[in-house]
Amino acid sequence: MRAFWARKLFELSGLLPLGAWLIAQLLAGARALGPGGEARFDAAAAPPSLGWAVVLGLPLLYHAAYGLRLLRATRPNAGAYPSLRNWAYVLQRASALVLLLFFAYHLSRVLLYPLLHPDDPLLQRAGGDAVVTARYLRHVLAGAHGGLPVEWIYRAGVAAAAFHFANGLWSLAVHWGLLIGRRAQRAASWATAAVGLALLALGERVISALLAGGA
Amino acid sequence: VDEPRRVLLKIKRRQGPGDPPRWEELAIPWREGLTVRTALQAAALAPVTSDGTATTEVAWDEGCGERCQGACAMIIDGRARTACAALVDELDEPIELRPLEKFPVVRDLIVDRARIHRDLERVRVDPVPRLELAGCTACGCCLEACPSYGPRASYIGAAAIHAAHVLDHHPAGAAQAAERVEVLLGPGGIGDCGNAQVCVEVCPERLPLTDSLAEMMRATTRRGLLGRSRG
Repeated sequence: MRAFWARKLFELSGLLPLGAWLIAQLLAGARALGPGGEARFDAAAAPPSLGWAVVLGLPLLYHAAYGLRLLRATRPNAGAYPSLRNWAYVLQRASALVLLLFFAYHLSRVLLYPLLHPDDPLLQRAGGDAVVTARYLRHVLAGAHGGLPVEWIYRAGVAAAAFHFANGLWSLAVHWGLLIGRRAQRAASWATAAVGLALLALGERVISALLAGGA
Repeated sequence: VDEPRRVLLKIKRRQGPGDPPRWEELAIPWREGLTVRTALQAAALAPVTSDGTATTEVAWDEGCGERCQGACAMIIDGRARTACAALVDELDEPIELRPLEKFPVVRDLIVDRARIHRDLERVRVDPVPRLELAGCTACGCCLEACPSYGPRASYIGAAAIHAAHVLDHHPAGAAQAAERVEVLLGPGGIGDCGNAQVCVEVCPERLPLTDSLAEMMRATTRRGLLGRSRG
């Protein structure tokens, strides 16, 4: 029974705190879309709180630890057995690794940097804390890190997140016994692909909007 | 002069467990309707390499020849399948033969598949004749092709889960349904399935493995969350 709950917790942690947070972040970013986007984005920016760090941090650590344990035993073979599902299996694991790196980078930009440099004029004050602004994010996105344009890092991170969440959603539905039979699984594949594409399109548009300065 | 047509078999050979592998190319005369199984039988009668030198007989498990035992499963041109069902004329030459890689090699193309039977016993599917009820020959193709199954993983694999599902719904095995669910809930159970769904593609018996997996996922989730097996 312990193995059962460990697995279910892994699936739930991906869906609820992490998946919901991904969507919330993209929707928050969507404020930057359209005319007057920068001001709208900045007005809604909130300081980080300890509560949120726990609500997100613990599930993230658990999800990552369980996933890395699964990864250790896996032997990807989509080269020998190339099918859509087998490639999705490989991509689910590859996107997880991309996400771990991206998440560390993202946190260092939007959380750590304001904490260490509260007086940076590109930041704003909210409740005594230094908080990111659209102008600050534009500055970050336009830069380069280790020879890589940060814009690419973010576009890749958003793509990995969209895929990992959508495919994980499908896998969760199968593991919970909600998708019995090939027809149900195929229909759900299309539905979750649509979710992934919607998140991808939104994310890439937010990045473009932040880079263009709310135009 | 027309040379008689030959079939080339490129075989990954090992003297014994743990020995380093070496590739050897054997040649046999072509004939109509040759399968990898009958080709290996022909090679056993006169083992010669493609350059004409005599070699030792290749060790392999002939099985039954009637697609009913699964013992002749191996990796043929990169895919796990049974030698008796693989037609030579439908394969690329030289035909590359390797032993299944998820199991310990005994010699040449023979592997030790004891783990399959141990796992079947764990879910109360005693190999014969209950396995036959499930239509499974324990060939191991689904396990070989599964990216989540292997010597370093404790995952039980599609064969045992499918057999468990069939027996749960059969008078010969329904009595142990609750025990099976407990095993599949546990470590190395159905939770380790990664949904790559290669198993169902390679099964020589075309068993509905992914359907059985989905059904057993429902059964284990129901048991785990609600504390009852069915209803």
